[in-house]
Amino acid sequence: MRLLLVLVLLAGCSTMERVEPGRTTIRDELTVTADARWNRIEGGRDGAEVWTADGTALDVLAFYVGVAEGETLGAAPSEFAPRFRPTMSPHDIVELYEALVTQEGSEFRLERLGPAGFGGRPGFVFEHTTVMREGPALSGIAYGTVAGGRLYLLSYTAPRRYFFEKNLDQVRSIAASALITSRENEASASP
Amino acid sequence: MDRRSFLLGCGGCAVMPERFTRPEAQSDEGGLWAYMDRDEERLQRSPFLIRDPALNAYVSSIACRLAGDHCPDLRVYIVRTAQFNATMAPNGMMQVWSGLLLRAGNEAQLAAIMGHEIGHYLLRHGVERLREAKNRAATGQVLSIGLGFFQLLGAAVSSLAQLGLAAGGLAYGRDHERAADRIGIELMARAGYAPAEAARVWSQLLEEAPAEQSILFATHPPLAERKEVLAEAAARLGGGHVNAEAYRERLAPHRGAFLHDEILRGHYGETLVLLDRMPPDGEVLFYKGEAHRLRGELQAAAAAYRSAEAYPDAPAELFRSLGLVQRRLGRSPTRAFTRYLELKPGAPDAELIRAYL
Repeated sequence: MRLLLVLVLLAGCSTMERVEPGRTTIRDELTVTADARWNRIEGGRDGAEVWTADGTALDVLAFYVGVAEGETLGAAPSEFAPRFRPTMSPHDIVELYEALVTQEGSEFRLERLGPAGFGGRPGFVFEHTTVMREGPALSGIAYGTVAGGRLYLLSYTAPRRYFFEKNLDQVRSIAASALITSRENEASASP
Repeated sequence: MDRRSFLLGCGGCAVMPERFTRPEAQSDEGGLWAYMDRDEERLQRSPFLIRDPALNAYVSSIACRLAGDHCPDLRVYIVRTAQFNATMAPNGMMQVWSGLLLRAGNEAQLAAIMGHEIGHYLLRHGVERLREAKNRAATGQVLSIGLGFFQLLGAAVSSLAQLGLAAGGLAYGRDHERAADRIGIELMARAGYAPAEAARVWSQLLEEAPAEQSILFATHPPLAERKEVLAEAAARLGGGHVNAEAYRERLAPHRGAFLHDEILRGHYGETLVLLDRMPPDGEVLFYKGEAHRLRGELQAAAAAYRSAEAYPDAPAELFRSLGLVQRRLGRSPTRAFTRYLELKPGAPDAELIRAYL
């Protein structure tokens, strides 16, 4: 049985519910297996399902599930925001992600981009450092793939020291367990 | 005679007011200074402050030349923010944003904008705004207008400065802008810069974006009027230098990063106008390719990348981008990707590029 928690986060009040260890389906399309407890932010954030281990001020695990052609990653800040296209390469998707995290003028530095399976399909992984206007520098890792013309992306970010490392193995394990279950996504493409 | 009439009363031969002393802490002006002091402390810790001593010394020296006796009271901070802007607080804190450095074509154009901001400072427009804001606060106008402005601006200034500026009823009114224009061009001419560049810098901005899209023109005088006034003043003052070469050299170590930030704004049309204005080199042509690629204009992107190849200063990423475009166009990316890995074997994306090969 899920225990509903109402936690007061550093960044404000959010309603969260606990995600127990085991298999979980996200937005009916992506299943993942977690071997530790996480907390799910009710309603998500900017179009993504968001989990956190210690509060969103300390770590954020975001699942962008089935981003369709013409959609932005996250809430569109303006008409100029770049939009997803199914023909995008992993490099293009990193740029899409960079546009999302630099909306407030943050600095994004790509540390690594390589091939990696995700969702049971060929995909990619990238690591980055993001320096915010206000607040600590963040480390991040993201796994993604394009399947059936739609984007599936898991992104984990946390302050560089301690918190990023603390949950990194769990995040890698969750990414490795991810499976895209939507039937329309049988045909896959990427990288 | 107060400071304002002292400065303006001479009609075309601006005379500097005396240096300002810190206002009483209990006064409204003293409160405004205290706000700005605290904001300045935060700015000094910002990771977005550009700390390169050579560039800072260069930009500060321009401010000093313009401000004359007021030079010791000015502190110039270069902030990495892609928008075109400079600000000047009543306590002497001046911010010059990287988007302005990128867009100014020469030292005289930068001096035109800095001179304008110093004009606001010399005329003490900040405290006038504060007093106007106090009158408006009762009607509830300040907060809504101020927040709207800063959301549009995507401002680098932090909350205290926002409060302070928003408290001014949202930037300066048009009368303040006209007065700052007049003083700014006088300061430019006095410092030996070509005053004609003042009108030119605004024309360039207008070429990039129609006036109605730019927040800069919302509070500034209509461009036609502004250009006319500035051009008339330039004709009267005449002469001066632009220092284009020195400006380009000083900016060169940072220009790639500024162009990267510019691309991230996502206003590719404006970026292309800006890049067309710059003398072509490997970096300029690479970013031209990037703007086309991100607009989905793959043939134009490939053509720009190929032009950039001829320049020894072209960044290694040019070959990565060219390879990605060729891949999308169904052409072989092998030569471009191989060249990229030769130039940057430890590139963060080398693993994926090798997988492509």
